[in-house]
Amino acid sequence: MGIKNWLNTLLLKRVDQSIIEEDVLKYLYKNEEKNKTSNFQSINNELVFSEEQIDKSIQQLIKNQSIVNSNQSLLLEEKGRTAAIKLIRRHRIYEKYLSEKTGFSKSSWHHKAEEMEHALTDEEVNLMSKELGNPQFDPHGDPIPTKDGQLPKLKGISLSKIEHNCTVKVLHIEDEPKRVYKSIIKQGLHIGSIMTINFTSSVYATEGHALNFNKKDLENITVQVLKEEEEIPKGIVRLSLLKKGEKAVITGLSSECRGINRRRLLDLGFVKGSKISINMVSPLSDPTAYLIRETLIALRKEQTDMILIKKINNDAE
Amino acid sequence: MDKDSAIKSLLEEAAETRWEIGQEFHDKLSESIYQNAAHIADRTVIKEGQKENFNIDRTIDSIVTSPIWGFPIMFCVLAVVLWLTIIGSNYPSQFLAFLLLDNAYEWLRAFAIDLGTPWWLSGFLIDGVFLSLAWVISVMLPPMAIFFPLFTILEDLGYLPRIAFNLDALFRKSGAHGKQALTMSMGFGCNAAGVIATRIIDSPRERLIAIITNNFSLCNGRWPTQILLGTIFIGQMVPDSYQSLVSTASVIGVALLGIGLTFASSWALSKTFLKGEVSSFTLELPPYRKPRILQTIYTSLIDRTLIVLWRACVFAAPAGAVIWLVCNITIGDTSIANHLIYLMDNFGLLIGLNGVILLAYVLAIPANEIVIPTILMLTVMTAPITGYGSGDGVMFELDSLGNTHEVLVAGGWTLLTAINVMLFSLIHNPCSTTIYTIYKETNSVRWTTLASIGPVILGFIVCFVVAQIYYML
Amino acid sequence: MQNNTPSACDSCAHNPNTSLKRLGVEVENTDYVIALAGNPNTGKSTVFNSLTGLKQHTGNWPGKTVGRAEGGFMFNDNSYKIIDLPGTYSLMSTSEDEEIARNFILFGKPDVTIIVVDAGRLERNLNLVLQILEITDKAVLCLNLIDEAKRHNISVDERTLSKDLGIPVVATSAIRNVGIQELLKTVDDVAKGKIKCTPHRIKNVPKEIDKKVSKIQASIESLYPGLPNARWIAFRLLDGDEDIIKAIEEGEFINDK
Repeated sequence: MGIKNWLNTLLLKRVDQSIIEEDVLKYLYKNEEKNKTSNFQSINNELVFSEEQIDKSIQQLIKNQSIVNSNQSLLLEEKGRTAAIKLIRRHRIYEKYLSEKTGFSKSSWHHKAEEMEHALTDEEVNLMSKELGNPQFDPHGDPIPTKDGQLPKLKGISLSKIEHNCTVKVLHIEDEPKRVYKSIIKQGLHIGSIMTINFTSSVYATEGHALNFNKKDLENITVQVLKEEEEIPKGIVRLSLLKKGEKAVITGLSSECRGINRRRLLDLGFVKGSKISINMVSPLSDPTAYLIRETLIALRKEQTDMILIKKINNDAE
Repeated sequence: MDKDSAIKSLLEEAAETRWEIGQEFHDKLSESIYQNAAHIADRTVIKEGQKENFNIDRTIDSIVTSPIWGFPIMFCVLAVVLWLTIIGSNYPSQFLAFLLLDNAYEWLRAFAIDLGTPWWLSGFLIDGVFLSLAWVISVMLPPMAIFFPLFTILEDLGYLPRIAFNLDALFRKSGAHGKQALTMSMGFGCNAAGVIATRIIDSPRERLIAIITNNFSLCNGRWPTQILLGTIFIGQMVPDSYQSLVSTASVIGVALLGIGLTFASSWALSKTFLKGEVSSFTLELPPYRKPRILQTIYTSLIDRTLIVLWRACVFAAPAGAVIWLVCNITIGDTSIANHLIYLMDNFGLLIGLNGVILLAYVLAIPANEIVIPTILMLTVMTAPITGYGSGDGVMFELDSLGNTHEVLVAGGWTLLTAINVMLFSLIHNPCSTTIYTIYKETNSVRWTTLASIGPVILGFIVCFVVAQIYYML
Repeated sequence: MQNNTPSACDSCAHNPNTSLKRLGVEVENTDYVIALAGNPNTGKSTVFNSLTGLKQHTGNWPGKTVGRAEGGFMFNDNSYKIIDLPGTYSLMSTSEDEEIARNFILFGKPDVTIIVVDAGRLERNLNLVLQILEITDKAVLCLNLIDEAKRHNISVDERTLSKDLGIPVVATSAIRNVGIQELLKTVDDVAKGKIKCTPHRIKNVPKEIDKKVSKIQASIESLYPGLPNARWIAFRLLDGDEDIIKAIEEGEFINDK
């Protein structure tokens, strides 16, 4: 933190006091969710601001009754909690907006939302939310607090806690810290994917792809264990695994396929039940042209990862 | 019930229901529509036997997109198109120049003198407006009239989408769309037409990239400049037997540099200014169709050639007038042109050009075709050389390369000047027709400004760097 | 005394001619307005050219006709204005082409919409046809490129198709001028109401969703009685279509028939 502090001073970056206060509230709220206690030291370790700035904010928050200091630990009051939830709403709605309506890359959403959560007004966020169809989840799978401050709890458990063979559904991928998040998305894991876990061969696999996680990655992925009785879809793989000469039926689009991309694919007939096969591959090996509903349509590799299929036997038409 | 509140409650109800259904709605509706379609098609479409022609399509596809033949076929096709355009347009160009520049121009002048028109009026109208129009038409029309129909025939065949398919991986790396290969090729004919052609790219970010970078495709208004300078300056550096080889290589080098710049600037744009623009990829490969050659030629002449030519003329006519005026209106003892040249000369020399060249580029914004005639005219006006040209503000070109060389050297040109003019001709603002077209297509002052100013700044930087290196050597 | 001031009806926002004018279409001296819709690559522009005698460029490439081309023709002493809409696969995304096509059919209320389809690739083309039939009930299906389909050994049962879709179907090969006269006659009949269309409505929407759509549809119908495309507007509202929401707020959908 020292270097960042120093850089901030060097660049004479003026930080609005209210931003620090909001960040303190958000930190307290997140810790409260994890049943951890917070004090001045833990805040100072987490946030990038100087000690004086943080101290000043805490004093101010105590003064306006957003938080209280009891037994060396800082606790949220109702007022502070409401403000924190509003902040989280602004953050998650904005991330959703970025994912649906802009072309910014996945790994930059969080950072942009961190800035905008302090700048947006509640009215702007409500409008944005309306335009997006009042979404319930942000693109990382986190629930979005409603207008009146209801924040549904995220269900499911951390992937690191699973120690037996089973099938799970990916609910949430934590976007902080960025380094861990990037390493997870590099594996091509999608929210909503069905993942099979086999401890005898220690393999995590979704949609035909084997995944390689380290311990930190596992902690940041939240999943829901699918019970045996529940319908566990079988044989679903990504379109990228289809080989020339094979035929398949589309079973759906991954929830990672968003906004205009999703609509275009649906409009072109990449819907559940469409038969698909490879017609030709570009000399540079990407894109691939698929024959779907009597038309040749070329898709890039990253798009074919978002289309889920089930292969069918050649003779069983 | 009050209408407004009824409308409000309807929208509330819809928003509420939308939240209940969630994101699934579009998916489910698309699915049902396709199911309906499949159901109806099953009942009504009767297929018999083998799909004969479909296999022909597949065979063609497997050849034109094959790892071995895909690229050679593509380069041959593009080379033939460009060759036919450049070589084929020479003759009609010469004919038009003979008609408009040599005959009609002289006839108009004689006619004006007969009428007793005051010198300033005939100068303004004939030497200014008419001459610049004649120049633009004779240089621009023939290559476009050859290039566009050829390109359109390839388009109608269904071959162009396959080119986009073959090259997409290259363009993807620089954040662009494979279809940009086509708008880029179109730019070799005319940048304005290339910009219009970006309509085939349906993803907003990639389309903007294609529009803004199209200027780096060396358009046919700039080919003659490259060929002229490549021949009389670069070719002269080597023994006679290598001359044509070296000069051709220098011109092709500039064109290839343009392609390189297209990729580099596409990449840079997608990482900076255009990072947040929405991006999506779809590429449909339509079935092959037999083109109807005659109709294609007719319609591509009407649709593309004449529209672009008309726009160019609209801009070139006033430009010709301005060129004549700045050369003939004097402040103090010297013309405005001389004042401007004097003002820009130091900056020009700093970046390895000179004041004449910079003024010519400012005056010739409407059309790259008139850059060389303007430079020659301005040079003769300012340099200590006589016996060329026909007066202040009257653009001209010389039949003999040696004479052109002589005039330019008298104007202070060196090898550096020639190299930098070739570079600057590639890397400068688009012509006004293209700028206007960019504005029409993007409807945004921001992107139009970026597309216009960006290349000039880059051009200055490149010329400056080259000049410094040249001085050091 | 002659009254030269425009009547209230001419300037009222709900007169279809006013919305046509707003969409940039001059309708003076025109009896009927026809829209020409279809997928890219179906020979739509060729149909346009054979109807009007104009020579618009026809490209073997999606998205060629950006913007709109207009032309006119006379048939049975009536003057027709025909608008060539951009070729699209759907009317549900948000691309510029689709917006132009959609807005024209919805707000321009053309007297007849000709939907051009590729007879050889009917299934794909029907996706758009079914969407258009949700918006307008006066349409003619132009089954184009029939000879090419024949070469591929594909034929289409026109009668069943017409029955299933609830609109007249005319087989054409516009490039050879085959079927154009019959197309003209059919368009004329639909425009004059001699042929009544009972267009197909999208079926097997999942039950829970269909129920909700019907509820919204009922609210729309009670607000604007007799609106022919209330269900489609309900679809668009549930899809969060900003244009449609705005149009409703501005009261665009009041039925004028």
